[in-house]
Amino acid sequence: MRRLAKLLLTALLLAPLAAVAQGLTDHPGFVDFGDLDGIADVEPTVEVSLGPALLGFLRKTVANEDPELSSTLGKLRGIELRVFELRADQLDNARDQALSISKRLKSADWEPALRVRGGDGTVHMFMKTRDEIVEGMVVMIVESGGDAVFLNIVGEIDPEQLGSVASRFGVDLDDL
Amino acid sequence: MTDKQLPTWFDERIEAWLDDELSGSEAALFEARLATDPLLEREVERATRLGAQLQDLPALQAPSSLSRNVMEITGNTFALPKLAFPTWGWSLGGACAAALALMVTLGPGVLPGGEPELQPTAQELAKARADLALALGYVDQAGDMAARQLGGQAGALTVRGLLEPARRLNSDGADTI
Repeated sequence: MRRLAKLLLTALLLAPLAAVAQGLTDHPGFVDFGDLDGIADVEPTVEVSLGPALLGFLRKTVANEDPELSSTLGKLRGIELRVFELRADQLDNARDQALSISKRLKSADWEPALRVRGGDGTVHMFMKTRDEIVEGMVVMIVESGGDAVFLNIVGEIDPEQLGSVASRFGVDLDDL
Repeated sequence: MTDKQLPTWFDERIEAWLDDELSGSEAALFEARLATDPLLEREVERATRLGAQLQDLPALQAPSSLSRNVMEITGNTFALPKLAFPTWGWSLGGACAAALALMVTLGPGVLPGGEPELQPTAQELAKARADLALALGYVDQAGDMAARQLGGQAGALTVRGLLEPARRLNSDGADTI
């Protein structure tokens, strides 16, 4: 009996350690954009990595003034963003990268939510879902104007709530 | 699975032997058995490993708010009794419980590989807020581009209504890659 109790204690002790060892990169909604560094030999002009700790602090800062926003932020685990300013002759490389990542995501059971090609450029959006809950989102935009955007939002995502968050943060698309 | 078990007397004295708390005659008896019993040897090794793992846990600095919170919860109504751990077994159980409680209370930030629980500055928070807004803005931009492709007005489509047009786009194939 004592031995069983010891084993249980050991299991209890080690289980949280294993959970902690599984950081953001092990989250099903995480996508490694590491290969993008140096796309077309151009370094990203914008590189954002927000982890759970910082998002947690952000959540706390808005908890009193906006509980709904705080709740939305509380479900996000991470944001990875890379933006490249490319010349016209470098855009094909970015499109190839986006297609390559798209194939990788499809093979990993990500669902294509949006694929657009038009005069503005190309857009790929993928979502990782489990039991109808979105666990991750990838947005890749290659603008004809020269910007290439690779975005990964990790965590439980409600698209409607995300739109609400964006508006409350006063996002102005003209500034992008 | 073979269920060969140690005699209870030996099983119950492993921790005491590791803590050098057995009397001379008990220690001699235990060590004589240990020299000839592989099962007891394995149990001793296991207990030693577990003890070493506990020793390897990082020293933790309790957050400054902890004592204040504890005092608020207890209402300053009692003083904690002085605890004594007479055997290694008690120490083991206590250490496990303490480690678990600390991990649950303080979260992953206290462990190697976790993010440190450092309070960001106001500037860092402001930048994080701007970064988040920027990232979400690009999601909106993707919706905007989709809306334009659908023939709608620029800016009419936000993430709020993104999924349904996305399904339509993917189902008719006309505007998809």
